[in-house]
Amino acid sequence: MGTLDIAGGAAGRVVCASKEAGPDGAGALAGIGDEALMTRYRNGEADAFETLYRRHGAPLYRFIGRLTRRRADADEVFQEVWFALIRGRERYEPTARFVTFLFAIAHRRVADRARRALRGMPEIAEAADDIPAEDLDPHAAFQNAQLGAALVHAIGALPLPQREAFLLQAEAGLSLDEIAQVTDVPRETVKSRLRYANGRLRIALKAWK
Amino acid sequence: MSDEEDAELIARYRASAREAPGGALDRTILRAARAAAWRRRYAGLAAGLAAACIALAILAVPMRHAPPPARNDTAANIGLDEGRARAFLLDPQAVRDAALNQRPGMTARPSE
Repeated sequence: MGTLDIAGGAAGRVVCASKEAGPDGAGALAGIGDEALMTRYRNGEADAFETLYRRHGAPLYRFIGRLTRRRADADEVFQEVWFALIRGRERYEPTARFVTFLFAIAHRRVADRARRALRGMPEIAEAADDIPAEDLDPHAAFQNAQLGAALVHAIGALPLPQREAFLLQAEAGLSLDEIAQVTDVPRETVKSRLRYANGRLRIALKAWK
Repeated sequence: MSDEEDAELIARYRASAREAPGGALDRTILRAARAAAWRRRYAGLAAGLAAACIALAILAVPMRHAPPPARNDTAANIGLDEGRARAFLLDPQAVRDAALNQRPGMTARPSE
């Protein structure tokens, strides 16, 4: 069980062959919105699920991976999230964006896991923003010698609530309100977390420029 | 800190992030999704088929032999099926004679 390949190197990347068809997978459904696809899947159309999976699988995987850090944990939570979606398909109502719905499931699963693993520790949503960040490992980042890799490394060093807020914005493309909805905190808190996160990342990047 | 700087940071991150789930994980999830969709799509059909099979099985079980419903005797046949009447019906000559005797002006007995 190795750590997640946060630098995104080729060695740590395994891409399913069918992904080569395109980021959306099945071409016929490529132009259809997420919510309509999920409704189709709820009605028994398996191809609709595959398109959703192709669209959101990798960003969701990175989101979970950067929160759990270990590849084995990321794999397990990732699978749990999709299975939860499959099991709960009959209850799905397109009242919010599908991506918000999906990442909210992931947020809860990661929080549950963190709670189980660290009994007595505050859950992600309630964790204070001023949790000290992990020390950056300049040597490891320097070895990558790439700004992108340094950025990914710096994201890994952010406090968990800030990291989660940044990833929900960067990976899922959620708005402030949607991040607030997913993480169950006020909008202003999200804004503050993002401001801190972006500030830290900029500082980290300046060191490597 | 401007929105442009934030957007640049996000763009740089998206360009760097490449991890994806492994092929085995993809297959496991997609297989589960397909199985669930299949169940959803064919659940009604399967239930109909099961009901039809049960109905056929019930109908195929041989029924117990029931005696035919009893006929009510009528004025024409009352008392003809038993006793002396039965013996009479079993004798063709007696039946013929009886038929002749019932005709006006006819008798089965030889004239004396």
